[in-house]
Amino acid sequence: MKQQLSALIDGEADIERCEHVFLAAKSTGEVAEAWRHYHVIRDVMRDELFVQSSDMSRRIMAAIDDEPTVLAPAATMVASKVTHIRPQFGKYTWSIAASVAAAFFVGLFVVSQSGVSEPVQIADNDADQYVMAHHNYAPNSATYYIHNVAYSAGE
Amino acid sequence: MPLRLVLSLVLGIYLHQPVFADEDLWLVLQKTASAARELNYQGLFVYQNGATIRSVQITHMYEAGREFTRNVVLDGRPREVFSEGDDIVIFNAKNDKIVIEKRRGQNLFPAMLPTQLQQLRHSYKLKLVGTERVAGRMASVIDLVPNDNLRYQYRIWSDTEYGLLLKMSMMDMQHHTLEQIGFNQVAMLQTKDLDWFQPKIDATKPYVMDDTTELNHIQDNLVVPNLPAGYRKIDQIQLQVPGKAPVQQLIFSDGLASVSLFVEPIVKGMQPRIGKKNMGSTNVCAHVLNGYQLVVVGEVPAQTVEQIAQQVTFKK
Repeated sequence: MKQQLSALIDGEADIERCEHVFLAAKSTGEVAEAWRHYHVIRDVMRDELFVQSSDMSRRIMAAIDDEPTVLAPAATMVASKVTHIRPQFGKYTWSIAASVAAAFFVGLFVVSQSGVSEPVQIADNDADQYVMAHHNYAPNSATYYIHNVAYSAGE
Repeated sequence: MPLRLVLSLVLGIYLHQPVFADEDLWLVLQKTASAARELNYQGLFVYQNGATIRSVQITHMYEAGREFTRNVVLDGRPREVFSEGDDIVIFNAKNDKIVIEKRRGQNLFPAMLPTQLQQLRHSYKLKLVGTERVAGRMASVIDLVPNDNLRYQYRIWSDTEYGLLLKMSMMDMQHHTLEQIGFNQVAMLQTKDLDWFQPKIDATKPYVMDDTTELNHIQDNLVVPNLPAGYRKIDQIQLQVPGKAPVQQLIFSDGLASVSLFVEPIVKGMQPRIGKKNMGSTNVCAHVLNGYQLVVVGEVPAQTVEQIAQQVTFKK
């Protein structure tokens, strides 16, 4: 499986002959690790690195250690090229500071807790993030096929 | 016309038209629930909600007790959804990269009906509407009429021969269609070959695993004592949001309709929200309790999300 992944990511794989690549993505253990590993290695080689977390950076360094002859020249460039991409979910969907768009609602007022701000009416932007999470994890979601507003808004 | 043909025609009409007793309808529903999971088929369906329309190409196979599905969303941005049993993996094209997301089992079309119908029996009555032709197939049309106003009404079109769910719609109290999903064309697959169960890999793009969807199943002191009739809690997960306290998501369902409750501690600098919102078939209710932000979301009438929001308590 690891070899297949490697070949696949390098664009050398014969798709028809790959076992279900899907398995790589769905699994959580070694294969998933390998999947990410190979991507990182390839990205480093191509000098177009996308990194999601500091954990990932550690893994890159580990990858570099593993294969010094191949990766060392690229590695020196990596530090300045690393693009820290904050995950979509955090960046776009849970932003409480999101600007308040025109919203249609009927409201009810609740006495606020001491020490925190007075509650305000929920707006479109606030609701979107929750609607998306609902559609993502609730069963029976035909709505699943929609690209959510919140998703596209951040791009 | 040979006598046998005449006889079978007469019998056919007799069997299909008038004599659907209540239990027969539940049997049709049961067959419909199973058929979507056990048949091998390929087709094109369209999902419609308000102004949103999406065409999806589906291939489904049931092989040696395992279920494989591939959904390719044809409109909008490229998106492929693979599932094997309860495992779902999505390949999502975003800008210059492909984001891989993992999901839990969901009842994706046409497997919209739960295989255990017991829960539905508490909340819905079945009514035969008649027969209609959908995607070139004859279908029995059955309404699931809710016993109360805590859920919407559903209408299903079930293939008279195979039992496959051909179409399903959700209607409000005034019978306006809120959401609809149905085949434009569908055919049974004869092959056992699984070579279609592959994402279209674009070797020029980076593939990124989405780490934010790691799911922790948890139990805590959060309870909703009086859920709206027919609903029960089916799951509770913790969403990891970078730089923020974890958000609890409790999921409730009556077997068809589902509602999520989000619970999040209100920290300094966070703006608490309250109030109600309607977004097509989706209703949202925000509420504040004991320093927690509560948000309830569901494809259910407004009073259902309100009722859940007001029932949340924290066990001592």
